[in-house]
Amino acid sequence: MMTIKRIPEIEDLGPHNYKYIWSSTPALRYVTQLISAEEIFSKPDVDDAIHRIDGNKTIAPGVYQSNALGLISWEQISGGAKGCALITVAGDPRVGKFNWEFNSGIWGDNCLPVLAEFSHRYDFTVIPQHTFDFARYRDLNFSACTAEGIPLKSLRDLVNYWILGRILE
Amino acid sequence: MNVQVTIGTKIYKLELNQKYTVVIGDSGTGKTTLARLIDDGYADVQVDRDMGYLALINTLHPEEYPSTLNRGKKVFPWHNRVVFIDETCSLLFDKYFHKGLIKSDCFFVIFCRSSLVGLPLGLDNLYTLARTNEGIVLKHVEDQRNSVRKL
Repeated sequence: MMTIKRIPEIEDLGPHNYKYIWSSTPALRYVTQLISAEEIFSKPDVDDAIHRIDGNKTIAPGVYQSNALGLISWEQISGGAKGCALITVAGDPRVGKFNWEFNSGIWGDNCLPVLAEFSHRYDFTVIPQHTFDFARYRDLNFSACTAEGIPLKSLRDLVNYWILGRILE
Repeated sequence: MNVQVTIGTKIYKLELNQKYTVVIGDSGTGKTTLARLIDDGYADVQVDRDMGYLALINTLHPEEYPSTLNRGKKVFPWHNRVVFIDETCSLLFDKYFHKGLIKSDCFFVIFCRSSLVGLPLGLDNLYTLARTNEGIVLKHVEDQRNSVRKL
């Protein structure tokens, strides 16, 4: 389930007064100190996300063949793909007290199909800090709710809540 | 203010109409890679008015920056430069970042999709990095609007 959490005051955002994952790279670096990168990048879901978002071919867990960059490690995959990898370990007790709330800006529009699939399999919270191009992927089916637990039954509900902060009747 | 970034045979041109310009784009289009290549010195960067440049791709905590941003003065330590900042840099999400930017005499190119506190976006200062048949292309949003108009 993807939970959408709205922050009431935009001025309150920022690492100093609100803890959330603002960028996937530092968060994943931290997480790989507690869960091995090999374990995270061996997951079929992560592998599939990297392939779909970046178009990279897997050589070994955490090692990829990129069309533009050649042979790369997981550190050089896109921020969106790293964000998807983080979702698969969200809530893992080995990470301890970690705020699994993601800044939506981590993901580009091309990550939406993967996010829609992950919303049915993983629990994660997204803070809408930018607007996705939902119109480009209008057939997607999300499993989403508000932070208060109100289900967002359709993409229309989701977009309305994302943009306007309310569900239109 | 014109900036030209050359990486191999690829040329990216930016016209900085305002103090800050934001580059957005899908995941995997190379925003962080572009900033990293500039930082590593693999990109040839040409800037008008003989201004210098630097790229920030660090993931340092804001307190580790050599700036007084977090000590209440809200001032950047760089002068008369074009500063490329990637979204992996926590400085962008500092609540005083916009105040430091406004006071600064630098121009900023920000690779970030998230809305930034106190920095509104307009057509003048928004570029997109996109995958096309010709490879990765950097386009001014206004150009894209004109091409849609022509259609």
